[in-house]
Amino acid sequence: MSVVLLSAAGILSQIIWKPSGRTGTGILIALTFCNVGASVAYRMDNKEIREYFKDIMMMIAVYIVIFFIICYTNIYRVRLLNVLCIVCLPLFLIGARLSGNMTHGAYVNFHGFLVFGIVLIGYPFAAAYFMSMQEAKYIGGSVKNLSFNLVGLLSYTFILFVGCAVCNEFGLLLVLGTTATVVFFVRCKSRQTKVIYSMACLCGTFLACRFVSHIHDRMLIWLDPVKAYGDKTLAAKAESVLYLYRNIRRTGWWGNGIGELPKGIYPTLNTDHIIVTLINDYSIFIAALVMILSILYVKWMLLEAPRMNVYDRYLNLCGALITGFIILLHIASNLGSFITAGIGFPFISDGGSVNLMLTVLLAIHCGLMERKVIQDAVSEKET
Amino acid sequence: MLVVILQMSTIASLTILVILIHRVERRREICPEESEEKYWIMQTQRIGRAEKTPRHYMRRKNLENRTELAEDGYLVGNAITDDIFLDTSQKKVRMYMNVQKNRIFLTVLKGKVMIQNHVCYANDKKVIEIGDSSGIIVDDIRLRFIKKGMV
Repeated sequence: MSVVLLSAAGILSQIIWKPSGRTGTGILIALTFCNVGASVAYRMDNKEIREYFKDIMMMIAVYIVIFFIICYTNIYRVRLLNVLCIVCLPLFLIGARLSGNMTHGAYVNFHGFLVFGIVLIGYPFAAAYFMSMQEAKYIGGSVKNLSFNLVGLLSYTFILFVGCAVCNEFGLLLVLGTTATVVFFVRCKSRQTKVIYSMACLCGTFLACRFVSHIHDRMLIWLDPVKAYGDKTLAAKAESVLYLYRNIRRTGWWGNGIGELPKGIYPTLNTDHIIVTLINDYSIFIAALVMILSILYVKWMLLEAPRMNVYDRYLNLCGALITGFIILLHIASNLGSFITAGIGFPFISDGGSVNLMLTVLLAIHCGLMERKVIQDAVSEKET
Repeated sequence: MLVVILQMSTIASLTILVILIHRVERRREICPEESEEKYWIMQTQRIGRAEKTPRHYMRRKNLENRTELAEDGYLVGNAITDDIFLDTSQKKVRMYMNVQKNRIFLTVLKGKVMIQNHVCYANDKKVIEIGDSSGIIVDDIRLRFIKKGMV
């Protein structure tokens, strides 16, 4: 049923809006991921199946609305809305800390919505707004120093960092930090500034590895797995980090079969450990194919339509970078790296808020790709 | 047996999908230069150097080139790592060009450049505004900036 529904949604979008073939590729990959997600979730009762369909319907509705706004209107570029978005994101983080309940050690919810999803929807607009500001002045008056728009972007990202640290949401902090770093390196031309920034990032990484407890624990496990098993405090964590390596021979090329993974080691099986589930339940081949598809998806999201302006270019770039880093962090944490866990795989992981966020980023990209095509078609008709 | 068949067919269909998507996308790749909206045209012409050096005699005069500029920052110079490479005879020259929709701002970072008959030496704090049809001479190359649509 989900296959039919999702395929129908894809075909409908192709017919109604007549998008170019390029938009279709990404939608097809996203639908494939949704189908893989349906296979991984093992929904057993009617209530869970109804919830799943509700999420899918919500995603389709949100996609249509956002696509329409981006493709046919200029509302998303209104300065007041962008400034409101910039102001609201730190407030969401503070609100989550003050009013939210702790879940797995982090304050992740704000009235039912995951803070991770809300912040990552708003951040591309904030970054695009800063980058599209006219770069006419520099701090200290020298071109070798930072321009005001880059300082604005970094300062704003730092404010969000503090909010993420307060909420204990380090996955969000990593995604924001890596996205801001790439945007900074793309825009900044001064080699001296880039070196200073890189050294500051390395110091920050060192401090995070030393003082953030679960990153520090995972690094200790990674550096000396045998000692970690003997340590009472690390043994439980070591089990989930190293399970794949310890059991890969038993799993083999074709997997162990559906439902074999112990829930005691992986309580968040259908959200944070998708790759492990695919390798164990289905086969290494399917996990590898899903990873290759995800690379193609990110590559597709990095494409730009002809003659985009600065704001649209950076909006598109940030959306693609956020999606790419989410995938990278998920795969890295599943394969036992010391990076923090707690980030789902796009469209496959169970989680309405995060999948909604990724649908918004997908709709933004499709809207920007189709925008110029439709504008050119309209102006051709008028002439 | 059925489980094995289903598993194999899933793997096969996913493989075919990945290969198809990859092949289709490779054929549709757009050249990156076309993806930005261009506001300015930079026209360059080799005009010859005041001092005659051996290298000068090996270069052809009056060679012209045009490039379109989008709203961005560019490093212009005679180093290979610069965004826009000028094949000049001078030792080292580098400028930071801040291209905006209606204006261009130049800063000379290395060497010397002649901007509207004034010689400008390296000064990373000095930002010079360039207008439409302005001329700059970098050693033996003349650069002219024309607003797109005004050609």
